[in-house]
Amino acid sequence: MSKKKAVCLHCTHFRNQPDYLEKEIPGLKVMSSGMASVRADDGLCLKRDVYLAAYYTCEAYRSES
Amino acid sequence: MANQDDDIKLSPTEEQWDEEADDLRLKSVGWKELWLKEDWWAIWVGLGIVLVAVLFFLNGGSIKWIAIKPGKWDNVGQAVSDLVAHLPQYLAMFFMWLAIFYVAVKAMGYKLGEFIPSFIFVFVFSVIIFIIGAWTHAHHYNLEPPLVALLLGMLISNLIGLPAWMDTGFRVEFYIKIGIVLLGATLPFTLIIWAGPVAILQASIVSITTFLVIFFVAKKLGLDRRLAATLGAGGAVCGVSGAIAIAGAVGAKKEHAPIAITMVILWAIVMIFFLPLVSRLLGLHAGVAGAWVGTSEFADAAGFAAAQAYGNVAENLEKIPGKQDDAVWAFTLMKVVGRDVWIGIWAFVLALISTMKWERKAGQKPNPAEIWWRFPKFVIGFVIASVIITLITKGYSFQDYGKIVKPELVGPVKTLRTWAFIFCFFSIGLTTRFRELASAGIKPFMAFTTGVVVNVILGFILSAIVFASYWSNLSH
Repeated sequence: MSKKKAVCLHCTHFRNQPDYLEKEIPGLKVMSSGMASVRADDGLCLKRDVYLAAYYTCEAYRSES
Repeated sequence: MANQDDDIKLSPTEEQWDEEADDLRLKSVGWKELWLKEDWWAIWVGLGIVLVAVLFFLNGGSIKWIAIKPGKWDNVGQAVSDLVAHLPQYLAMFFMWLAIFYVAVKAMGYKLGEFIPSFIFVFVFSVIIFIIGAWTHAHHYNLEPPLVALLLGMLISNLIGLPAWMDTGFRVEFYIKIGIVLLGATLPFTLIIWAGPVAILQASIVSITTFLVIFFVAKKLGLDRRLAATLGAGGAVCGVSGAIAIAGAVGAKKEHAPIAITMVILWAIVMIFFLPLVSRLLGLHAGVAGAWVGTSEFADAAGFAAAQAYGNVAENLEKIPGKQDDAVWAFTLMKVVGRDVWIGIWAFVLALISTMKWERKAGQKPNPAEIWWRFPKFVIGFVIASVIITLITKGYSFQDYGKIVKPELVGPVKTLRTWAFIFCFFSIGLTTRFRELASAGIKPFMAFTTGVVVNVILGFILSAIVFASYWSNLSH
């Protein structure tokens, strides 16, 4: 089984579904979109209350599995 | 890096989130974005339409029957007769769009049960808006379809209100990206080569200056660096998309992106009306005005509304020099080629600065590959469409281009592009619900507005004075 990188993408605190982000970020769908390429895999960290790229990590990382 | 024996415990609420986490956490999209992201679907839809149009053309036919638009009218009776006479074509076009969007929407995971009725709503009102714009006196009263669509949408969403599920059909970015790919088919590739470097130079001067102004004013006012960068990207690069890309790249606080987004939306809407109005008062050439809009509007959708509105004015009022195409082409070159394509580089550079200077953290390395992943892919479709049509039409004389190519190939594609734009502008209005926007606060407002002022003045100087000869000669 391949080992997952310990980055936000695989952290249990991370949320990046497009429609979830469009609900959580007011105005996002007015002149942009959660489905846009510019967003890449970015998402919200519920632990730290930040919006960040999925390749970041921090001391609060907790694996999703 | 924390391990699972960490003493961080999940609260009961977070445990519930944990169960839902899989639904709300998407695995890395990677190359699956070819069927999951709107940018790629704009390419498939836009290039699909262009290729079908080309196939018909090369076989002696045309898609113009289905690419219907309202005829000019003087009285309501004429408008109604025209609509009734062409009703089968309007219905055929509706089902064409519905079939196309059915496939795209299903692939991207939206709920069809919400999208279809919502799109019917958008289409019906778009027909009405397009008909209003076809009134022979519409231009004297500034009843340009983009402006009517925006205002009508805002009135409906802010005064009447619609159920939240209808947002599924108000896909602003999806419609504008399809429109931009179709626009590529009406913009000669030689023009991109000729004017592209000037657009990149002018846009870079304005973007970098605007970003630095907003960033340092925000810092001077005591705002967080990440918010300053997010505001700067929103004002300088590409509006809401720029703000969200940079917010992610620098790891902004959750509230930073909504603040920047509010600023972008408010000023973008102001500029939709301000820039064409001032351009009209100054009698600016359509190409010059389009370039100014390209540097001083904040979002593609808003910018196209302004550029198209002014282009319509130029097309119909003799005292305004230039044609509609001049305004739209100049805007596209400046905004899409000059600004949008660089967002990945902005994100990568700011991510580097953020992790190496602002918050040194071990193990965090911005990946250069994000320059590609964040690249607005619809631009690829725009360029390909331009190349296809340029190659197909290169053997035609100027006269034959006007007699044959324009009415049978380029014209119908342009009509479908206009429909996509109207869907977009109406959707902007319908999704701009002022009470739902985040409160920005006076300091972000002051920082952003300072950038707006610098941007508008510098954009005007470069468009109307320094590079005016380029922008007023695009058609030639």
